[in-house]
Amino acid sequence: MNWKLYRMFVGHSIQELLAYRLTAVLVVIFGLFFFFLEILAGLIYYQFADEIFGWTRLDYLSLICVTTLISSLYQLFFINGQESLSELVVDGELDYMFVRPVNVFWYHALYRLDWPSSINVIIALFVQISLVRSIDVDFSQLFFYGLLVGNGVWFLFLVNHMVVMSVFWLERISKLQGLPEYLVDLAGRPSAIYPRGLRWLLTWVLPFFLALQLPVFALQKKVSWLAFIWLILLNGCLFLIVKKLWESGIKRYASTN
Amino acid sequence: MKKYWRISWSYFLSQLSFRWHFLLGFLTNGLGLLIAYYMWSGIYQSQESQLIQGYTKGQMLQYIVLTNLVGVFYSFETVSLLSTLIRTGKLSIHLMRPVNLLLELFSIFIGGKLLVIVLIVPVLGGVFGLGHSFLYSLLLVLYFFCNVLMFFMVVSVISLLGFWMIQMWPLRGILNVSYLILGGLYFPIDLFPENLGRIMQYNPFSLVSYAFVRSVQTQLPYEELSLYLLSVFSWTLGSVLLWFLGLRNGLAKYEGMGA
Repeated sequence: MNWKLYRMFVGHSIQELLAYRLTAVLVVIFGLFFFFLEILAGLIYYQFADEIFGWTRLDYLSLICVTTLISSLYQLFFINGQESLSELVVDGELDYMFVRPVNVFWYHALYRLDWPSSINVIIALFVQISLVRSIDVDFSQLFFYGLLVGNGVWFLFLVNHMVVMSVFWLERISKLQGLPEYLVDLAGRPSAIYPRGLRWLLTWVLPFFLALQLPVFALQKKVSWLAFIWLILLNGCLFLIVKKLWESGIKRYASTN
Repeated sequence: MKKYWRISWSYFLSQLSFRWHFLLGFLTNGLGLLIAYYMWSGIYQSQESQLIQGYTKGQMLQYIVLTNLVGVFYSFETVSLLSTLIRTGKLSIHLMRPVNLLLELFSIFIGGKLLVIVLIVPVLGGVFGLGHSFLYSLLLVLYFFCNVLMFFMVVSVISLLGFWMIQMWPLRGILNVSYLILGGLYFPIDLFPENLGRIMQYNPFSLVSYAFVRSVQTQLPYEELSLYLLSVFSWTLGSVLLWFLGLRNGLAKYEGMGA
């Protein structure tokens, strides 16, 4: 993988986008609709309470921006590659990638961008910036925020990749594939509203709450170092597991359908 | 009549063999319910007054559960079904068969819901236990069946867009989100600013979800219930007209080639 190759992927993705214009427009409308529904719901919820278990309206709206930002960035860069993997494996079409003189793992992960998602990235960023302007944040906080968002994107990529790669062992995984999305949905609301057991599970074992909600805490200077270190460690481990799975997966891969 | 029943039945059977798919759909609804439930329960615990727009905590949570439960009935498979037929050109076969396309789609829609109906009948039975008068309960049952018909017609008209668009899946996403908001699954429609909410409750998605659950939860005055019923009739009638108009125009454009 090098920069020149990636630039070509970007170009191809744009051409694809132009070929399916109406679809792209509808996808953008869908994304915007959903984002505004979430924001609207937040505004309605906070008509009745100033704080919900310690989460202010600003925190809540930031959470919506953060989860949208993270999942849209993940979709922009990774989703197309992941969606095609199961088909490529089951049909035995991964061969065409192996004959190329590139790192197949990265080639496959990055080979298409989902441009419609970029609109949601921009809108979420815009709303987040206008929210942050009303409070006092210094540069280090913003830097930390950005770092944690990037980390969240990376986390989503790894988790989804792990799920997608089960296709090397199982044939029909479409049911499994939706699982991370459900957990992201759960993380789209303040973790404090959930029962303790569920909260604990999704914070420390499957750290969706950490990955998707820590950036909000960064804006309030309330990130616990323990949580941060745990998340980074876990992300590192996940990456190693994903690499190992990939290696043993392609050993199992039989190139027939 | 018998042939349509057969279509429903065979669709029902085919659904039984995709149990996982069905369970997954249930899970999706359940998750939405879970999130909305905890959110509202949190809001009530974080504020002093017992009432939000006239809803007690119990009523609000009941509302959330009921709308999500009723929502299991209303899905947008017809959109994908018809657009696939149009795109692949298989619609031609269906047009040649001695069945009415609209009735065939309806049979499939009902066939897909048979399992849900079995599961939800006990809940509907519970409606009678809510202390409504006999006449009112009867009207509720009528309202429910009209809703199913109206919803199907509205979705069928939207499906006709398949004649003009190649890829319809993003539209399904838009419809799902619209249902969440216009049907009042995140929060009841009357939490919108007053005038907006009053008009919005007569949209098709709200009529099957918010308005229906509202009339189940409390015994509304008969004028209000009949206004809901009247809107359901108008939407049905309007979409039947639009269906025939749209189908004629769509078929004129249809090539039957498959793309």
